[in-house]
Amino acid sequence: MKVLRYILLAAGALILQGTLLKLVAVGQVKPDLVLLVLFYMALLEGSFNATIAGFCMGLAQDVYSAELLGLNALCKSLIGFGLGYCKRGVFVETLVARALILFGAVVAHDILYFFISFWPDVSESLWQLVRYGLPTAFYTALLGYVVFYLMRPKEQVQSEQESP
Amino acid sequence: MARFTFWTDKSRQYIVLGCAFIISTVLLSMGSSQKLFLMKGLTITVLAPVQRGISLANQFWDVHTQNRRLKRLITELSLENQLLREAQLQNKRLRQLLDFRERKEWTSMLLTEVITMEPSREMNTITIGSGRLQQIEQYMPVVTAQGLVGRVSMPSENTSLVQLIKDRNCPVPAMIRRNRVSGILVYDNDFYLKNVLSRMDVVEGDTVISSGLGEQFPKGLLLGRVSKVYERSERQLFHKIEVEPAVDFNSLEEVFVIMKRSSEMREEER
Repeated sequence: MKVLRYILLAAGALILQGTLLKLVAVGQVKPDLVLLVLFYMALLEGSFNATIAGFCMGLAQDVYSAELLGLNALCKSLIGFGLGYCKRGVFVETLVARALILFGAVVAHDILYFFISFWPDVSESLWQLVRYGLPTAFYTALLGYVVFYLMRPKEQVQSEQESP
Repeated sequence: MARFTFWTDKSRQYIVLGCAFIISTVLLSMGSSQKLFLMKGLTITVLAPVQRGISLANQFWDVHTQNRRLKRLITELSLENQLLREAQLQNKRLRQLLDFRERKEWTSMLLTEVITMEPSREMNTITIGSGRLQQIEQYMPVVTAQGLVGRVSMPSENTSLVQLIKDRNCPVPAMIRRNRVSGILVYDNDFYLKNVLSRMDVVEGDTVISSGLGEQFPKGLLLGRVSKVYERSERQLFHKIEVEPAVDFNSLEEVFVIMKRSSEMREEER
């Protein structure tokens, strides 16, 4: 059941990424919903499942887009693994910390993505990273912060209401 | 065995990562070879339902965007169409005027625009966009292709005031084209042909033209058509004849000012 829920979540993220996210795009920058879902999965399930999820979602993106087959799969597998790995060590419960880690994850993903895409043209990769990577990371982290805030556990909400 | 299981549990994430890395790298290294296309084709077939969903959502969005774009386009085209229709009507009017000028004997006519219209009960005037600088003088007749409009009453530098024949103070010497019966066309809330003796033969539908008497208006300009001949008693000396004007005074846009008759020009040349 949990697997089905994750599959639906991933499919939903993939569809939204290619369609309705145009509506919230600022210029050509839109949040990376797939990475946000991957972050959520890694947070709950750890690196093993996050690696598989990252690979599958990345592969689906590769198939759907006309880019290099395997590029998204590779980047998202590594990011999924890294995020799952972080869960054991540096993961903290505050929303700001999660948003910061998500920001780092998107930047790391885009570094990999652009450097492989434009290899050996390093300057073009850096330009793409500055032009699209960093704004996307910021936008995704901002969206992530809102999502984490809305999805915070009931106990946390209750303690926030009780505290003066 | 337990040790092996522990190792496997611990390391399975690395194994998965390694597999993902290898598969991805292999896929990347395939480049644009035939295998790549085959695999892509296969995956697309498997993921076709998902893709169809994505494409449907995209189409929905595209239809929405396209709808808005088309609505804007329709408005723009509609406005353009209105302008073109207006241009077409203007073209038709100007052609009629050109044809009129070629048909008539007055060679020196100035085509000018009507700038303002001030029709009222007391004073029926229009302002035209030509004046003394264009050699417009007082009392010059003003016409359209439909017929006589009036005369220049007050020329200024670049504009002129035209007194319409639809003014009480602008009577026009007229006659019936059919039998040359003379009278005077006068406006008194309606147009009437006055001073026509009651024994003269006038019937509804007769064409009324300017007679040229008094030399203010050239002879032969169309004024209108007899719309009603009132019944006369034996004691009445004159007919009471109502005339429907040839010119629609509410839709004047361009008019001709007759500056000189061709006969006058010929005399001057001599």
